[in-house]
Amino acid sequence: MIMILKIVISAVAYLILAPFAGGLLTGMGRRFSSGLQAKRGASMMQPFRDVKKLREKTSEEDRYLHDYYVRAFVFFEIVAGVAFFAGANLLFVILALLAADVFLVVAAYVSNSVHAHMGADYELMRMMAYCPMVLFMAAGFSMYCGSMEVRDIMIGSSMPFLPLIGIFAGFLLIYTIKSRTSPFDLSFSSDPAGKRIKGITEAFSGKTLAAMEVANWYETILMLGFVFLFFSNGTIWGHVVGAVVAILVYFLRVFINNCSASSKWEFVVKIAWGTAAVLGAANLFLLYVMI
Amino acid sequence: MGIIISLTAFPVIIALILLVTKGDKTRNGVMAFASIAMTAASIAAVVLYFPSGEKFFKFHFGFVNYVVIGIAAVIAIYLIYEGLRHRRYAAPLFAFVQVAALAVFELIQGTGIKVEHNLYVDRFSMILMIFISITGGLICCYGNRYMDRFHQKYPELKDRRNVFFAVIFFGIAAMMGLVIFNNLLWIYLVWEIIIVTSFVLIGYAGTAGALRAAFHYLTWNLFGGLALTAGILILGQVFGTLELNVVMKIGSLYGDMVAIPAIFIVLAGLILAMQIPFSGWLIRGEDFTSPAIAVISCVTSANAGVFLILKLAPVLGTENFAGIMTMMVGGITFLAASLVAVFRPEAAKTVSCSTVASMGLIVACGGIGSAEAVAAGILLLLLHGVSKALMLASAGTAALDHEKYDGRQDLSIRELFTGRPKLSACMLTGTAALFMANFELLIMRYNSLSEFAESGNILLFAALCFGAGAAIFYLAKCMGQLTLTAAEPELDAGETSLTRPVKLLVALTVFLCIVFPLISMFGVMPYLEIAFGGVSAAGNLVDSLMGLIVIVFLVILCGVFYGGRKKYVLPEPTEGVQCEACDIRHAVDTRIFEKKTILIGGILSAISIIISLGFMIGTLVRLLGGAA
Amino acid sequence: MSYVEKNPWILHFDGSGCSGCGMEVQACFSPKFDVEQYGVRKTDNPKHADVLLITGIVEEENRDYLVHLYENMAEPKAVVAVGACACSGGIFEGCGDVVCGADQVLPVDLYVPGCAARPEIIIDGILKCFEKPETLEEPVAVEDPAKDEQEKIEEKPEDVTEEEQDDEE
Repeated sequence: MIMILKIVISAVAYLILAPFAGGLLTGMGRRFSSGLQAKRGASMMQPFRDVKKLREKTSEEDRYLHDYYVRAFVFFEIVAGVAFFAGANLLFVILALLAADVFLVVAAYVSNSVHAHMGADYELMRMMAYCPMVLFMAAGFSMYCGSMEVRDIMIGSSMPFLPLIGIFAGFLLIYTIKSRTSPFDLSFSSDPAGKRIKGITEAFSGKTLAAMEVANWYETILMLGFVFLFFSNGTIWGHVVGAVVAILVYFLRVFINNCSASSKWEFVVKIAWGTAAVLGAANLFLLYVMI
Repeated sequence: MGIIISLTAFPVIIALILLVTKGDKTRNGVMAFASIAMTAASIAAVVLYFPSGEKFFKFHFGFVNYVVIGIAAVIAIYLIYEGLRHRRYAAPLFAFVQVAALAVFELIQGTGIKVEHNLYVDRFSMILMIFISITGGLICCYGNRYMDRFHQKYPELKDRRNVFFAVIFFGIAAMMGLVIFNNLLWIYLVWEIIIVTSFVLIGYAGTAGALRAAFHYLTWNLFGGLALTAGILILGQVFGTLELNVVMKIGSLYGDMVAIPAIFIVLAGLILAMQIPFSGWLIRGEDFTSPAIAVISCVTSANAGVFLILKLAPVLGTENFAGIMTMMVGGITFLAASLVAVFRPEAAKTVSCSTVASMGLIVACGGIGSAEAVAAGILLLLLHGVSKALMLASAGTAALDHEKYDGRQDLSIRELFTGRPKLSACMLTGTAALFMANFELLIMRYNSLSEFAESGNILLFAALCFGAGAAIFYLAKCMGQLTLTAAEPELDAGETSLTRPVKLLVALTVFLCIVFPLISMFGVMPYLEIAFGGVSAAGNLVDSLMGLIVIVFLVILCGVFYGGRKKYVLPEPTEGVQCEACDIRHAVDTRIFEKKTILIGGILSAISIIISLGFMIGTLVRLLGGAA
Repeated sequence: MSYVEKNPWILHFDGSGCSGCGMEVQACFSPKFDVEQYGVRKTDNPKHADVLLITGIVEEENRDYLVHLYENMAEPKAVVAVGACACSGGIFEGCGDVVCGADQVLPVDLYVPGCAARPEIIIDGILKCFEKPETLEEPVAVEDPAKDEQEKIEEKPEDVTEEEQDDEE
């Protein structure tokens, strides 16, 4: 009974608090990156204002098909996050994330624009790049903590960080790829002065774009939740360290975004698969030997 | 028992009737009647035998074995004749050697071996019986209309439709036999029949490309037949038995020893299930008719190979060189085929590579040899069968009506389906079902995934993970393009008669997606209890969850197109540049990439096979040395 | 004021010409002027943009693209013409193919004068472009440093001639 209550409370807490936390983090990140460029930058509440602004835009009279699929994307992102924070199986979370990305790709295709199709191709390349590493991560947790359920990993007895350090490094790479920032921003350039064409969101406007932004906030919190998982060992110290490292990782990602140019898809796939093969597989092998 | 026998004998009679039937409507009627009758019989068998779980039948007749060898010899003579006629010599050689060996064995030793039960039915067989009847029937219904249009379009090709459909029904009969026979000699016979029927189906068009593919298939599978013969001979000679269930019993006691003949049987299964070194004919994709491929990949040939491997799964496993070989070949196949599909935008390549990849996945599940893995494999087999049949039916219909289609399969999905929104929606359903089947069985069956990892077979696990990444690419791209074409306005209604069986297949796919948790709970799990002696209890909850996930995904993705009322519209397309030119895969030389991938995959598989065979020889030497 | 008016996203259309105003718009995003602190963002996609910022000359060749971009923007939207050439043709008025002013092609909401327009005025224009004309304050003459320089130069020769006259006398 208490278990079910706990699950429901964590799920609802994530559902309500994650957009605020994600938006705030995004705002702080933008402030940080502006600071790196010696600018003053927008305020920390800017992402919320952006979303409100986008929602004010009136959509066209017709109901576009891509709006529907973007809503499906948002739905699956939220499902993934809620499942993760409710303590479900890691693989279910991964499957939900993959399904969400598939819907985003489908939405891009259905928006009937050439640029969107190119963006969708690039998004697919990115999915292909990060999928193996994410599965390795799940396997690593399963081997070290004995279970793939998030709630079991959270109460585990020792910090999975050091034994899984190769996988952690790989996951950082994956996080950069998944969040569509440089040097892996093949299809989505979020630089305010950027002159690149945003691929997948080419035909999205107004409320759809706002929904995507909010889904990105949910996803940010989920990804940082994965980082947190690497440090959880059941004690309050583990939680504190995990949260701190998660936030540091976020700012690290913003920093990398500022410092790098975009790269070609061949590079992205090669580096992601190479890292997965070398770091991930080696880590798994070492775990197998150790355990 | 009568029902069981009739399930094998009845399609043979139907096949003979079809050989002499003229006229489409009669043929259609006969096939529809046959399929309904067979489905009814399978369901009757289920009702009769499901509760008890398994049933042995004796079915002894003194001369049956001689009849079996006789028929095998006749088929071999036909194959030798065909091979010599087309000047390919390897196939006739293999055919001659294996049938001669078996005939000699049977005449000299066979009478000495006592076979207790010739037939054996368990829940797995019964599930497959229903599956074969329904899917086979629907594919034939589709095939009839397809072949009609096909011959209208290509009047220069010889019209041998009678042979085509008769041969399909021979194949169905053989598959039924495969799932119920316990005597390995009889299994060899149905094996041969399946190979011959597929050979005829592939080479039906009679063109150079078709014949080349047909002989490629035939040669490799006769080589597999050699392996099967070797396995049967070893079993008969050394272990003194010809019964499959006895093999399984010995396997649970002396795992290592049984692996020696098992590896041969499994090798034959791998070749039949189109694993990477052996599937060049499919991936090269020349001059096939779509119902032929549908039958081969969804009903007979591929399913036969995979069935044997899954049946033998309790004998395989991670400690066992036969199991390791199966796992590695399966994983490598999955990875290589998925990579090829990523870089080949043509519709036909995508579909055929996804078939090979799914087969690789099922084979890997079989090789792991644990209960959960086999459960995953069986469910994937069923889901793949129907969704692939649906995909092939939709794609075949679209291709046939397309003006640019000239037999060579190099149209992209976008080109193929433009202007056919209803067909696109059907194909989309099939692709989504296949996607969900692959992924949730790969991912959600977390028991099998974590077992992959914990077994220490990092190579296999890595192959599966990378393959999953590639698979997501081409399946999602396929789904995206299909959603686009499904939302576009209809340009060309096409032949409505062809789309009716396609719609039936859609209904079947959706039905199976809804029902498969039940199949898993009531059919597969009890089978596994008997075969493995116990299975983890977590299975049932996972199954229901999986069913829900599949349905939710399908409904969200495809539900928009089945509503009838068009609520959503597409934005205007951007003018100017065509989509295909922007396809980034044009940046990579895809033909060379495909060749390199297949080559490397083939080499890796071959290395696994050779290493495993080496282990086998080592074990054999050790055993003989110890015995001596 | 609504959020659109406070945080507009810009679509910068740089027509032909000397691209001086275009560079001034770029300068708005530099650390010295930093229009981003107002939440303004640059985008390439008309569907995401609120304000269409036109700099440079609108010609017969690019007027159709301009109209296409404007039509693809979602409401509420505004058009700001920056620089003399976009307002009225500037020094290219009368040349062949030049459309004298963007308002011949689109409904312009706000004109930002200058050749080249200064970043401060451009930022002001972006932030005020949604205001109704009635609510705008009286236009205040901006202290133009160049004008003061000009006056000082004009003053000097008079002083010299007076002195010369004094010397001569």
